[in-house]
Amino acid sequence: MLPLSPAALHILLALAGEDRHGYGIIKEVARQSEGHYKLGSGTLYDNLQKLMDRGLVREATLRSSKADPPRRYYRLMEFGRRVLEADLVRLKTVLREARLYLRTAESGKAS
Amino acid sequence: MKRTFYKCLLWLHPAGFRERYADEMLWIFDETGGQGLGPFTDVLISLLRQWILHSGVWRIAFGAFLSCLLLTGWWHFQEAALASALRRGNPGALKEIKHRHSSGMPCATISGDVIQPAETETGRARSQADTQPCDVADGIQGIVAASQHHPVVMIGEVHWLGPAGEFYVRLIRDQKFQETVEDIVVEFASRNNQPLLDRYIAGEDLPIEEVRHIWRDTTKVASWESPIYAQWLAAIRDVNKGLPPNRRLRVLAGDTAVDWRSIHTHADWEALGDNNVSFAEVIVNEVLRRGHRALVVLGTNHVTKSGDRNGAQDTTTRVESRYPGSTYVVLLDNRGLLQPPVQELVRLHRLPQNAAILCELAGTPLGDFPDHHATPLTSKADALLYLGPPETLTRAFPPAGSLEPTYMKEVDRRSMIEWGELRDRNFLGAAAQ
Repeated sequence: MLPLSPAALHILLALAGEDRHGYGIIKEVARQSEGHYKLGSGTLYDNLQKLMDRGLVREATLRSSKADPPRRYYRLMEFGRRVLEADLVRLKTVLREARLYLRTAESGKAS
Repeated sequence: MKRTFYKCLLWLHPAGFRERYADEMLWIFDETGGQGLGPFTDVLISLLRQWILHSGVWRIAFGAFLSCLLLTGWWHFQEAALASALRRGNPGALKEIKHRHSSGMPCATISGDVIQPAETETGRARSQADTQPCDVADGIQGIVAASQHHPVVMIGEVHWLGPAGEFYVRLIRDQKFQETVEDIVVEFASRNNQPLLDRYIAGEDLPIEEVRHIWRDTTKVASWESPIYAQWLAAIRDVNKGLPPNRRLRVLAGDTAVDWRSIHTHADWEALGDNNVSFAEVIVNEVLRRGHRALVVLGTNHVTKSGDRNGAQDTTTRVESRYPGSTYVVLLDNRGLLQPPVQELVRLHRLPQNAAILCELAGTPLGDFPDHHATPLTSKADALLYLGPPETLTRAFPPAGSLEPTYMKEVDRRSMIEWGELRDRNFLGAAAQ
C-alpha cells in the first residue's frame, strides 16, 4: 500500500479536511499543489475506486443543492488517515535525507 | 462535438465503472470546459486501465497466451516424438505424418528432417513416398514398435524357411525386443512339454535326446525337423544367459498336449482337436491375463485376421473375440509382392541392403491387393514381412541321414495314423534315408 502514488496521496490529502465530491477533489488538489498537479477525472475515479476497495476512503451520503443534481461525496476513513500519516512520515524522511545530501554537496562545492 | 466525443469515450468504459462514475466525469468535463487534450488523454488512459487491469479481460488474454504457449509446446513435443518414432522404425509414424500432410496440418520439421533427408534437393522423393505401396519400417524395429502398441504380435510363417529362421534369431537378439516382449509362443512345441522347454530355455544342461522331444512330440508329425527351430531355441537360451532372471524370455509351448504312446488310430489323433484352440488358450491365459507382451510364431493359416482358409476360426479370431485389438498380424511375403519396389524402399528409407522390411498395409495400395479369393490383403494382416525375393526363401532341411532309424520308425507309425500314408518320410527328404 505504501508508498502511495502521487494521485492517491493528493486525493487523501484533499479529503483530509472535509468530505468532497469529485470535482471538489480536483479543485482542492490543484489548490494544494498550486496548480502544478492537474488531476484528470479518469485518474481521479480510477484511484478513488482503488482507495475504496482498500478501505481508505468511502462514499459519504449524496448531497444536493437547489442548483445542482445530487453529487457523490467521498470521505477519508480512519484507516486512510493512518496510511496517509505513515506516507507523510516516509516523505519527511526522504525530504530530510534529500536536504542533508544537497547541503553536503553544496558545502563540498564551496570548499 | 468535443463533449459528444468525450461521452463516447466514457461509454466505452466497462459497465460497472461507467454506471458509477460516467455522469460525474461528464459533469467535471463540463465544469472544466474540456480545454486542450488533457481530458481526452486522461480518459483514454482510464479506458485502457479499466479494461486491462480492472475488468478481468487480462485474465482472458493471459489464459489465451498461456494456452497458445502450451499448444505450441505440445505440438513441438508431438513432432519430436513422431520424428523419433519414425527414426526407430515405427510403421504407424509415417502414416500419421502422411495424414498430417494430407489434411494440411503443419509438420515441417518431420517432413524436412526425416521423410526426405537427402532427396529433398532433387524433388523426387516426395513423389516416390506418395507412390510407395505401403508404410515401411526396418523389419526388426517395426515388429518391436508393433509390440509396443499391441500385446500380441503374430508372425504367420511358411514353415521351414531358412531366412525366416535367421530373422527370428536376429529379432530375439535385439535389445529393444528383449526389453519389450516377455513371451514367445511357438507352434513347434506341445503344452505337455512346457516343463522340459522351461528347463532347456533356463539353461539347464540336458542331453539332446531329451531336448528334441520338444519339437518331435507335437500333434503334427515330423513337422519341425528343420534345424531353424532348434537353432532358434538355442539362441533364446543363449540370450537368456545374458539377461537378469526377471527379464528373461519365456518360450511358451502352444500346441495341443499330446502323448503319442496313447495315439493308435486316426480317431485318437482327431480327438486331439483343433490346435488353434490350444494356441488361443495359451495366449489368453499365459500372456494377456498376465499383462505380458508376446511374439507368436505360427503357420499363416493360424493367424490370418479373416479366419483360416476354410473360413473357420483361427488363433487370431479366437484371441480377438476375447481381447479385441490385442493382436497385430504379420504375414511373410513369400509371393514377392514387395519385390519390385523393394530396392527403392530400401534406398528411400535408408535401410541396409538385404534388410528385412516390414510394410504396414492399412490405407495403402498394397493393403487393397486381393488374394485369389478377392479378399484384400488388409483383411488378412496388418503388415507384410519381406525377407527377400521368393527364390531366396528356401527351406532349411535337416542334414542327410541325421534322423535316426528308431525315430523314423515312429515317424512312419505316426504318419500312418495322421495321413494313412508315409507322407512325412517324403518331405523329410535325405534326412530320412
